[in-house]
Amino acid sequence: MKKFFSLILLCAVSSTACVDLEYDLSKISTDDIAIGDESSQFEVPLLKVYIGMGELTDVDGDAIDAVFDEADIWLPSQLPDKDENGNYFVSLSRLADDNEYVDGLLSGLFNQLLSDSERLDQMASLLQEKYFEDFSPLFPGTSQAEFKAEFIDQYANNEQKRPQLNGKLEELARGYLAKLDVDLPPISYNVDRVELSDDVVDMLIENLDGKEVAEPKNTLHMAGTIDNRLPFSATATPLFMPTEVTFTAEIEANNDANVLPETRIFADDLQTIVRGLTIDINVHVDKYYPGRGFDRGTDGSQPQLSIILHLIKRGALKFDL
Amino acid sequence: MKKTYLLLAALLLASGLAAQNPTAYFMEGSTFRSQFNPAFAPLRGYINLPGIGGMNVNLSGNIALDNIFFARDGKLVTLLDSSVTPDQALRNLKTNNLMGLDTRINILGFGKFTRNHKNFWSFDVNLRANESMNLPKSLFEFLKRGQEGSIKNFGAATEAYLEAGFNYSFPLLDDRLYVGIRGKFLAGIARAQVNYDQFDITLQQDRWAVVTKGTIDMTVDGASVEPDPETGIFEFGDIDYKPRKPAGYGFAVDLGATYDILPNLQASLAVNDLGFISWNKNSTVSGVSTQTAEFTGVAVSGDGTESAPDFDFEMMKFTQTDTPKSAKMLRAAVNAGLEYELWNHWVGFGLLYTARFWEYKTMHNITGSVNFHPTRWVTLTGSYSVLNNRGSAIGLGLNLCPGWINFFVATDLLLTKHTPQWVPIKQSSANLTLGLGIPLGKRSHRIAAYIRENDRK
Repeated sequence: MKKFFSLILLCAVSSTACVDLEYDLSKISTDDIAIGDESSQFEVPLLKVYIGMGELTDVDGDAIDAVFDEADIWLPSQLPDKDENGNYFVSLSRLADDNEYVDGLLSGLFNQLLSDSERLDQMASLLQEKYFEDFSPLFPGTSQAEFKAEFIDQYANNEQKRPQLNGKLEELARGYLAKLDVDLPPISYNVDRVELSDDVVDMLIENLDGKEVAEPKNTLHMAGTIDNRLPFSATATPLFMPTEVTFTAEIEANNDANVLPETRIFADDLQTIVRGLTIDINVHVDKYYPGRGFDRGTDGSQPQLSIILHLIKRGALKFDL
Repeated sequence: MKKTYLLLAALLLASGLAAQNPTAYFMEGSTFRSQFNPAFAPLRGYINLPGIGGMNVNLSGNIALDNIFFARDGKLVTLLDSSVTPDQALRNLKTNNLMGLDTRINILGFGKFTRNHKNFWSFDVNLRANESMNLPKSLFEFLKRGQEGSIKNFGAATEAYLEAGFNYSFPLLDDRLYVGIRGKFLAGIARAQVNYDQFDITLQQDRWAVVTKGTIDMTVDGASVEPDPETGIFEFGDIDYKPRKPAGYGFAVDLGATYDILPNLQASLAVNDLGFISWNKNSTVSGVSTQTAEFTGVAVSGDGTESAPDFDFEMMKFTQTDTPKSAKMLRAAVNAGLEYELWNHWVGFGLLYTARFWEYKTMHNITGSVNFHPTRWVTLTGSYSVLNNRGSAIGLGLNLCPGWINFFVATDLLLTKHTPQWVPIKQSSANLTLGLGIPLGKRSHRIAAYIRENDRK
């Protein structure tokens, strides 16, 4: 019997010795559950803003394509500047500020009007349609219907009158081209809400490092691309109200993959954005590529600027059990 | 996402106990032994103490607690915790992580030898509950690495029922062969099953999407659900029930035999839980989850925005479906043993193979044991089990059956590292068998070495 109780005692001691207090199931912590780790990166779709031709106007409310179609006539085909890809462009800021630059362009235009009958015809049509009143003092007794033919004839054949005509053309061209260098009126959109559930939003924001963290690992950024079908490069600055989130993006002309800069946002920003926002987009045209024309699509509904935004979450996604 | 569901899954996976206790199989004299093979019998008739006459808790799986929980800075965290790297969390997980939990609690039990001291009958009422679960590694790869993909074949099943069994065993072939059969009437208490055949997750820059294809079945008396009147959707928590009577009935048999190949060499074979429960259609709530949700970002244009439902990973939403009449098979088990006795039955060596057919996989176990019988009312057993070609377990068992008490205990938890709650840490299975009863009536004359002159009456 003594042996038997010794055996029982041995078993009891063994079982006690095998208890690992580190694995006390009554002390399970589920406070820091996460999907992924510090090295993880998650990308979440956020917004797709489609800007149509009808929403792009100049400060006078004129459609942007019509504005630049006319600019094509005021500009010579041979331009002085080429970009890194060898494409000719005009700098809109220089059109407004650099007289020497404009002089060169107009000189080229006048030469082209003499040598290029098609361009002269286009110019005459434009003047007949839009600037007849400005030219009528130079063509007394000529009706608007007769103006085009008379202008072509006089410009091509009357060397004495041509400087007068060029003077008027220069006046109109300078005025027209200078006003291209302005900000387009802000384009504004209201978004009622972003359809991400509270759970998904919480996953994204709950473990974000604050602004005060010197080397943050859990961060949230807004990023994306812009598909620009317009024949001009521009600077776009969207503002996501009521937050103060904004960024400025350089957009190349006719490029479907302009990369937007990553913009860091914080928990409050995302929570505000998903509850609804107003996006004001300011567009400033920098360089225009004459002659490329506008791709309006078959039914005119083709978006001209498509801003595709997504979120980049670096670090793990918080996961509440 | 119903994250609680995942926690429960993790806890169940980690609850680490095991099915029929192989250590107890060769524990001669135990009144519980006939549960492994109805041809077995104790050394004397008995009546169990109600509720504690025989309890068996048994878990088998292919992962251990330390694959699920990690000690970190004085706390115990799950593998989903951010302090556990994906490599640490995924290193020991299998393609399919399985767990089966089988519990049997004897409510009432008694048995008696007939006049010849060899034929034995018993009657017992047991509460049975079992669970099985499969969580594929791809689920954890998503959770730890944020790795999108297609997660298939995960779910959990549980059932509880009462069994009332009558067991009878008798000798043939001049006592070399014993045959036993137990007929069991079953009363289903409840069952539930959630399965996902498909859980596809897409986490792309321009599209987050989740596609689920799953089913839920729950049967319990008074079960009903009122789906959301607008969406027709219900969640698990919406199921209401008022159990007053069984939700299904069934029948099962255990069949077993022992055969003395040589005077000291006995082979045994049993097939248990061959049967079914026919669950009541009117007590069943069924549903399917065929959710397709995606978020590609809010599209904004001059025409305004289009509204859409909120995107979530919610997967536990179901649409109610008609319930077919369902008869569910029990999870059968096969036990095959071989035992060789030496030195006038003083010591025996046993070898046992068990297979248990769980919902998601069949679990196999091979156990070798050494069994000491210093006297006929004491059996000490030591065992070593190889589980599903993976982990191993060392078990110890004791059976005491002097004239006034039957007591048996067998477990493989004593010598393994375990939690304060007695859950093994490194071992992927665990067993505990325990019981208390009172000996009554005639003694067994099946084992010649145990027959005493004064027993012959």
